[in-house]
Amino acid sequence: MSYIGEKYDVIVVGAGHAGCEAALASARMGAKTAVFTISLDNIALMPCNPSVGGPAKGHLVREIDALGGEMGRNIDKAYIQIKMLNTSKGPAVHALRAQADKKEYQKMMYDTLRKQENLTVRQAMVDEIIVEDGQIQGIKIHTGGIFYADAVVITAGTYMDSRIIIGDLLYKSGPQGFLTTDTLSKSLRDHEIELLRLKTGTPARVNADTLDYSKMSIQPGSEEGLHFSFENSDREKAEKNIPCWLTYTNPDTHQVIKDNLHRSPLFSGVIQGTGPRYCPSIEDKIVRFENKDQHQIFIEPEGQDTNEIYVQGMNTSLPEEVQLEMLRTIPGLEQVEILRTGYAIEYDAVKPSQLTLSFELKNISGLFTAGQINGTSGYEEAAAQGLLAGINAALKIQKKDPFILSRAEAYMGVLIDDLITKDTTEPYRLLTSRSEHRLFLRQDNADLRLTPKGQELGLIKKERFDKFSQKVEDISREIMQLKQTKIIPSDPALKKLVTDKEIPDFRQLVSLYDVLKRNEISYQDLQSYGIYEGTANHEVAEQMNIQIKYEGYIEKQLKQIEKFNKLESKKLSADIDYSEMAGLRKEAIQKLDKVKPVSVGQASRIQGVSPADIAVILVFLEKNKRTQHG
Amino acid sequence: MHQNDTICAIVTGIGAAGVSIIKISGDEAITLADKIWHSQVPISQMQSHTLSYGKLIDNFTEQLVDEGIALLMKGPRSYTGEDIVELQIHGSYVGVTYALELLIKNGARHAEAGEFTRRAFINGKLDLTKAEGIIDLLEAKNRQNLKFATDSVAGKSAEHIHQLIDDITEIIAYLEASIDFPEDDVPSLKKEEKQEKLYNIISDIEEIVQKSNKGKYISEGINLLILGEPNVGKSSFLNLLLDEERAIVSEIPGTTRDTIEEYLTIGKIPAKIIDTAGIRDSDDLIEKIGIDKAKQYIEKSDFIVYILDATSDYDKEKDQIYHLVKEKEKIILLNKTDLVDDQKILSKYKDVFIGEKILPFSTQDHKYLIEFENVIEDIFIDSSYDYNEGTFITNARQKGLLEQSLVYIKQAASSVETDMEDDFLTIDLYDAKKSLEEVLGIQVSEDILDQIFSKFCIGK
Ligand SMILES: Nc1nc2c(ncn2[C@@H]2O[C@H](COP(=O)(O)OP(=O)(O)OP(=O)(O)O)[C@@H](O)[C@H]2O)c(=O)[nH]1
Ligand SMILES: [Mg+2]
Repeated sequence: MSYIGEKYDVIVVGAGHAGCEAALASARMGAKTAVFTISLDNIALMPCNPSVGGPAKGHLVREIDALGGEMGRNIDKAYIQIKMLNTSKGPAVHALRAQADKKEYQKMMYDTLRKQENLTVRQAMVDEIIVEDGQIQGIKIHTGGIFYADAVVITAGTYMDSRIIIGDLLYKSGPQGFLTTDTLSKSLRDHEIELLRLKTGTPARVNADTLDYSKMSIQPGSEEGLHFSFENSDREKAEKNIPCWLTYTNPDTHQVIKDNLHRSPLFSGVIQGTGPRYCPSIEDKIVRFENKDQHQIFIEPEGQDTNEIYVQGMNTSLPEEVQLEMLRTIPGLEQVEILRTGYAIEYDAVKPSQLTLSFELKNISGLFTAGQINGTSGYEEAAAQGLLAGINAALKIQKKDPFILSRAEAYMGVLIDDLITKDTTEPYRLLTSRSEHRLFLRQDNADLRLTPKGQELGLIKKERFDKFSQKVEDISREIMQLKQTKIIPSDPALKKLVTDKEIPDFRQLVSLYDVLKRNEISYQDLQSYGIYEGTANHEVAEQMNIQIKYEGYIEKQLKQIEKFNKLESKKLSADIDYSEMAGLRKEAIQKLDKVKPVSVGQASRIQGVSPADIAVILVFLEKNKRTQHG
Repeated sequence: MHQNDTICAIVTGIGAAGVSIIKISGDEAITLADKIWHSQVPISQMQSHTLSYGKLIDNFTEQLVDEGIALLMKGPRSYTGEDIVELQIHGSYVGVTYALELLIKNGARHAEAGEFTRRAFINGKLDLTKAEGIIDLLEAKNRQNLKFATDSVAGKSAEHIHQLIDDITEIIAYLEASIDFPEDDVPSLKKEEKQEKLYNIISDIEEIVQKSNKGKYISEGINLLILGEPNVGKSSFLNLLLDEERAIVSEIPGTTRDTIEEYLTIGKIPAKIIDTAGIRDSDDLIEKIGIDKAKQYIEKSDFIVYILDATSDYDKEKDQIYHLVKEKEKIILLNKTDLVDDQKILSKYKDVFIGEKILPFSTQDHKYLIEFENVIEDIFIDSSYDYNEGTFITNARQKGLLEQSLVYIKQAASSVETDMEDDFLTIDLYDAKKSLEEVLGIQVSEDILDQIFSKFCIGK
């Protein structure tokens, strides 16, 4: 039997990292929102590694925060260790990474959801989507309720028709023993949504009390007040700094694996889904890199009040007893006890090329998908999509234009553009090397790039925006002052600075702006040597050090972006019939029809579309314009 | 990117005579032209639709290439609707191609067939009827694309460039792997390793450029030196080339006492030609100075015309002169064959000068001159260029791109030198890779990731 439940503006299906962001964004933008989760115990669950951030991922979290999303604030509340990676490789690739207290992370996020106005959270398994005339109507849940909504965001993660595989054991289950649903997959297929089969895996969790840390090397975090959220820029000291540990596999470990390869579902063909290359199982690593006699194993606590340890680097789908045997060959793990067994998980995902840039399905108006269901991996990638999908669902019901970030504006733009345009077959992970504008898309300037947009959307509170505006003002004032303040080479303070740094003297009267261009000299040096009495706080000082020092490179990048934007601004409508465009090659027609690019720029990134095809499109566009204008 | 580049091409036919026009169109047309064009007022400060006289100077070597007139037409009031600069310079093949290569090296791209017209249309400067023709052209290009890409760089050099792309990709893969997977077990390159890898690539590209390079001849024309014993007909030969009585000719050996320099074109090659005093063992001081000078000239010349008197036998003096020029690129002219049986002479001297280019000659007969010109063109213009089909432009394009990639790699090398962070290396390396890919007409983007995942054990 069924019944009609409450009517909402926006319904979010799933409360993982994507679902939480989608629900919060939608509710904060004023839409009456409900989020349905398969279990109230898996809200913002981290079923795999206990960390947030890293290259590109950390950038995403900062962007999420700059737009008014939750992940940055939440991890700042719930980390047990934080550090900055890549500090010697250039400012654009500096990357924040935190170890999370998983339970705390969930609790904090649930608190935020509960307190959010306009938002209802409830446990329910969603079985079906309801669609009429290509327009979403709502959803139906397992226990009979039909809930109507103007927009639906599905963020089902790895919960659709998933099965867990451990050796020759294979059973239907969502991650960590939660339920799975195959009816939702079926419903999507019924509405002509094409699905993919993907795979990922996770290592065993082991008992901290059974480890011998004296045989491992300590991996502490930073003591500095690092923070993901720009709201926490006043932090002076790390809230917590609980260490991780490093140990290694050895030939004995590898032997155990080799002896049991025939029992691995990866190699026996039981696993059909495509797994990610950047997150291979230990058995995969041993086979593919036979000559390596050791692999790094990071021992990472899953929280402050738990004895669960994540064994990073040992993800596997070998039988349970083999897992134990191989773990016990590792120094420090000789007595180890397993708390949760490692497993591989296969699941259904939506082929992302069916989406628009606003995460809406091309063939079902008002239906959005976001997160791991779109073939990505990673909490941060999921959260970023959830935020954008939530924003767009809210905009949709307000009958406003979609909110789309381009590749030149944000890593989020790179993510969605890659997903739609590139038709990847393995779970997609964002990398800094995927961005052609990396030097501009830095984590330090995420607020400068995105906070004004977040404010326009109504996702940034007034107090925060005032603080942001002050920062923008401070930056331009400081730059001006540094340009205007001149100094002679014989100035004693400058001389001392130059001598201490062992760098060549200045030859003539220079501005402090030019002094800062020297690699070795920082804004803080100018202050501490009494050369300049700058009033910039550390955030503004950071901008001085980066924007001035790397001005030449950044300008080059901005020029490239300008060029890039030209083609992006040439729009292509969805109803163009490419087969009627004389001069296009067959392959190009097929690809263009499928992707339905929104701009000539996007079209040019589709594999199989040549520069000459693009020229044809440009000529066609102009021709069309002329005919229309008569 | 591709569609917004600043493009350039030679828009007049290339002949021996007259003026050639190079058209540059796009956002950076003015900036680019100003890099190589020196006149009283920079082009950027000229009024639109005005001309100025100026010099074309290689901004990398500071060498003067040519002089002429620059015409500025600012967009949208131009043919393509974009900023256009036209450089009108002398029509010689070498000068014009050199200028084109220079523009590409500075970042312009060679225009594709019909691209100026296409841009004109897209920017609303042409009427609708033209559009059909443009599409036909594009269609043809689309069909040809693959063939074009493989045709243009053939065999060994294509292989070599592929190798270079792989080498650069490998360095990028190392850098990117350590950037994107900082805690994985990825070996990072030491400063010296980066330098070694980059310098190897630099010298490889330089080698390719040089091989395809008639660059030295292209910038200055060729330096051609006439040598031989007294009275063999050197000055007569010069006069024949110039088609005027420039040098004094007489039957008295030692007539020419000092060197005589003249400029002319041999076929399509501009040349500076130097007539010298005849070389012989001499006690005459003045003559001796002339001879010493000749020896200095040998050093500096690109090409030697060694003239022998076909009526006399090979002897010690002739052998001495031959040894002076043995290492140089040269041709041996057996002059005055009108006085003897040239076939017999030829076979006699062929045994003496094994492996050398020998040409029977007479300054009294024009037919020999044509043969001589053919030989010079064979040597200094690559026979694979098809002048009528315009494939030599493709080649200028390729060479420009090669040099462009060299500029980027050198920038990367200097970033290593000054201890810039790895991220800044990648910027130039990606650009270098892109330039090389354009030489071959290929485009690869996912390959960096493929390399990372196959090379390094990723998965912390
Ligand atoms: N029959 C014949 N006589 C020639 C030919 N070329 C040059 N002569 C004559 O040879 C003599 C010497 O010619 P030049 O051109 O002055 O010789 P050169 O090598 O410049 O002599 P120096 O300047 O004295 O070293 C002149 O009388 C020319 O007319 C030729 O091809 N055939
Ligand atoms: Mg003479």
